Amino acid sequence: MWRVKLHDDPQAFASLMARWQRPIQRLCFRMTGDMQDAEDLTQTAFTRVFVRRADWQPTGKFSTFLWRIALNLCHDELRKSNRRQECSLDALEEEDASAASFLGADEPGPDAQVSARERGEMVRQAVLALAAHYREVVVLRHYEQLKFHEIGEVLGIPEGTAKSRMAEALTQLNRLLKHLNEDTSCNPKIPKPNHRTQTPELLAL
Amino acid sequence: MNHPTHSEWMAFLYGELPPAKRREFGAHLAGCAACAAEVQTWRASMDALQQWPLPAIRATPRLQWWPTLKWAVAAALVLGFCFLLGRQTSPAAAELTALKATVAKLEQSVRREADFDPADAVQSATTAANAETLRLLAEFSLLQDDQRAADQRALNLTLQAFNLRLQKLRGELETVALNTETGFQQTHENLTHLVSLSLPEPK
Repeated sequence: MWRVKLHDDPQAFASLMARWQRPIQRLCFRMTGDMQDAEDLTQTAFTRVFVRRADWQPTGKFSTFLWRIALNLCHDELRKSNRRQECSLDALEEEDASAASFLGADEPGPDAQVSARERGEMVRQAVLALAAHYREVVVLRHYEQLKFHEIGEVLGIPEGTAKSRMAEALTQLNRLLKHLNEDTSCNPKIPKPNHRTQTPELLAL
Repeated sequence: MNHPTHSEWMAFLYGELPPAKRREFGAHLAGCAACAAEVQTWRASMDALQQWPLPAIRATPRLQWWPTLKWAVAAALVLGFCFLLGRQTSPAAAELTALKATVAKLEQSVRREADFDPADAVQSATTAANAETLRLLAEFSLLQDDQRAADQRALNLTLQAFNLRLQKLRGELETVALNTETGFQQTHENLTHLVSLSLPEPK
């Protein structure tokens, strides 16, 4: 990153993108629940990293800098989406198609695939129903495998707060997914996703 | 052992506890139904989270490279042809040739400078400077001799002129002295005559 910062080295920046594009895209997808948004946000995140390369301090970790920028963009996007109250049918169809493509051809039969898709969709809705400051901890710890102290650095909160948020998020998820855990065949009653809620800490970033 | 806090259980569930602490928590879990139920709840949520698959991430959309390549090759050919045509017909071709010759000369010069040996150069410069110094000293000496001879000649001429002037003055002075003496004698005679005339006749 220092080569990007000091010399505007395009090859170094390309290496950074190659290393971090997938994780950032995954993060944005888990935060917004939409792959198209995630792709756009990922591009914007790297653009912003380049624009703000002078802000990066070599004493800090580049990953922390990058996660923070990406999360800020996710929160901005969620806020804008909240205003638009958008519900894109295209996105839902694309998600369905993506989920279908994720399931390999060697999966069990169509019934099992449908069942898996339903379970995945329920979990997606449950995660998106979490408040953003819980969801980001879940995404960073559970899906992106960051340690709690790293999450604290990214979000600017104490490590203990990150852990307690994780515990609360898992508790809420359990409640939301009760139907899934007890009987995957029943129709879940999951509240409307609350993924537009803004986390308090990152507002200041 | 007291019941671990929720934060501690999170560290336990996500494998961030040291082994000794982990064993201690495991033992507590085996003997505490309340904690076991709570941890079971969280584990169920963690298992559920695994069921949200990541959709296939689209790779960066590939360009339709063949049409692009086709047009790129065509554009390159046209540009190359125009470039060559311009080079051949441009009035700057002669200037370009001259420029190339200059560049070649410069290149040779640079090569010579690359072979440059500072010690030899200093020795040559010292020798040349010494020779030049000797030459200048010889010239200066000759000039001094010429100047001295000229001065001597001028001095001799001046002395000769002075002597001539002196002789002339001496002659003139002698003439004046003779004239003066003659005048004195004439005056004496006149006075004597006058005195003789002014005296009364002896009775």
